[in-house]
Amino acid sequence: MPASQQALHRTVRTFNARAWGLSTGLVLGFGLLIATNILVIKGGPNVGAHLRLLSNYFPGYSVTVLGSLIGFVYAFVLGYGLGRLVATIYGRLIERA
Amino acid sequence: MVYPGADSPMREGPATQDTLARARGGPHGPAGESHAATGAQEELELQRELTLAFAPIHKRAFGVALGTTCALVMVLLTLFHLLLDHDREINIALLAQYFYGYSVSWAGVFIGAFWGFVVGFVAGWFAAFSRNLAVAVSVFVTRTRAELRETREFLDHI
Repeated sequence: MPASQQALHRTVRTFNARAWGLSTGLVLGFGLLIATNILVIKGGPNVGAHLRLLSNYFPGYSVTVLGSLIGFVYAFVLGYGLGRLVATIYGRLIERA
Repeated sequence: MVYPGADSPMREGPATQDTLARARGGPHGPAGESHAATGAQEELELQRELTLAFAPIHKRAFGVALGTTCALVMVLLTLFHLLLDHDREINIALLAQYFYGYSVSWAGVFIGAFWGFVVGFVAGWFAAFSRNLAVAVSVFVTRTRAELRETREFLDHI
């Protein structure tokens, strides 16, 4: 394969990986944001007793409006990393196939 | 392949038609053009690859795929807890906080499947939308940068 074509494949792979990272990050981020705020709106004596356990992995996260924004950032970063990793591995495997 | 209704950032335009014409031997005739034809063929191949690489994901199809998967997961999860997990160590009935009417019961299997499909469809549709948007923005930025770079010294030539 010529060098120019290799460079092109690399660029396309990077584009796709970044796009999938953004996409997964947004889905996870908004997912956690919505899930948290549903519980906040519903209210109750012990809001989000189980969901707040996520703070073990996401320091600073809580089942509050501010906590949902902090959770969005964590989930976005996690989703971006996962999406990008999966897309990169997929891109390399598909190139070899 | 571009699905109906999908906005492709790279459509076949006049450049592609020109490439096709050159690949077929025209418009300057086939004589002594074999090298040019090979080059045009490679260019055509490249354009096909690029179109495929940047092809947008069909949002509805991706939503249905993810929705169906989520619905299936909900059915299997509920059935597992209904039939095998009698101790109920993991209380998945808490999903009723988000899925209205859901419970670990036979009715819950269908209600869970319905909600699983809805959530999966929305997540899949949004994932496809944001992926397409990210690719389109990246292509636009890259193309604009390249065009600006090409025309940077434009005034020097006047």
